[in-house]
Amino acid sequence: MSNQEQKSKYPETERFQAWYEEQKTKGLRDVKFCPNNTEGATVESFFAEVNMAINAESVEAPHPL
Amino acid sequence: MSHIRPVDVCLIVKDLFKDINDQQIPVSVENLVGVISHRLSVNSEAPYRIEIKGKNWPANQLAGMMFRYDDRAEISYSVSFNRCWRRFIICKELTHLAIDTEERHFTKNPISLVQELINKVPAACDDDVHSEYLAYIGAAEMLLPWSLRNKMQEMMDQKKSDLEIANEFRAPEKVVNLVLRSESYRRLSEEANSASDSSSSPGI
Repeated sequence: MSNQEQKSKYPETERFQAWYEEQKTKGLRDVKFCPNNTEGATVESFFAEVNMAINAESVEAPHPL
Repeated sequence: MSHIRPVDVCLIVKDLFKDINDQQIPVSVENLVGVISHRLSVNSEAPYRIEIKGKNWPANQLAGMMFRYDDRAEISYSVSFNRCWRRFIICKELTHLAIDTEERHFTKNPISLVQELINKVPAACDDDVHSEYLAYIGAAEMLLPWSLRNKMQEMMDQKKSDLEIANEFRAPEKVVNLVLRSESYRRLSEEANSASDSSSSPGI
């Protein structure tokens, strides 16, 4: 099996990295995260949530902010 | 090391409130968005847009995030949090927009940032993680601004609990507790607010 065919050990992190690099070409300058409970978290599990959040549809907030 | 100190963050937020005429309880996050957007639009042809998006994701590890583009910023928060925490998350990210104003303040490596956020052991003098710490202070100052601390004191005098005060200010109880009960936070606020109004702050 070639290196390219091997399954990535960090697919979510790599997915974010690819998105990040693409967005930089569209004017992205800065990225910040607000963590919740990171006990037991890994970089890979964190970026799995980041990717979910990026792809989630906006929903209407039930109250004014 | 970082471009600003905690006391500077308090001053920057205090300065934002100068542009808000109607200082109500709870503080209007929309007003803060408007002021920051307006200030980021100075010297730009088009208004700087700040989009606030409530989204549905599990949020076990990630509560919110902010992406700053050349002409707009996008702040996302998880709708799994209550209104008080949503407001806090948004204000934390708004603080980044207000205090991280130059390229050198921006996150250089998101993956390293996440590693350090998770491990809670930032590399020595790491600006990215220090900026996170400052953003928490900014969010507290936005939801519980110095100009309304006398109202908080009145509520305390009326024997209202931190939870009751938090409900009125629509701020997390933990944050109310920090602002009202922490000696170090009180000293920080007092230092910031005894500083001359004419002192220049490094924010927007």
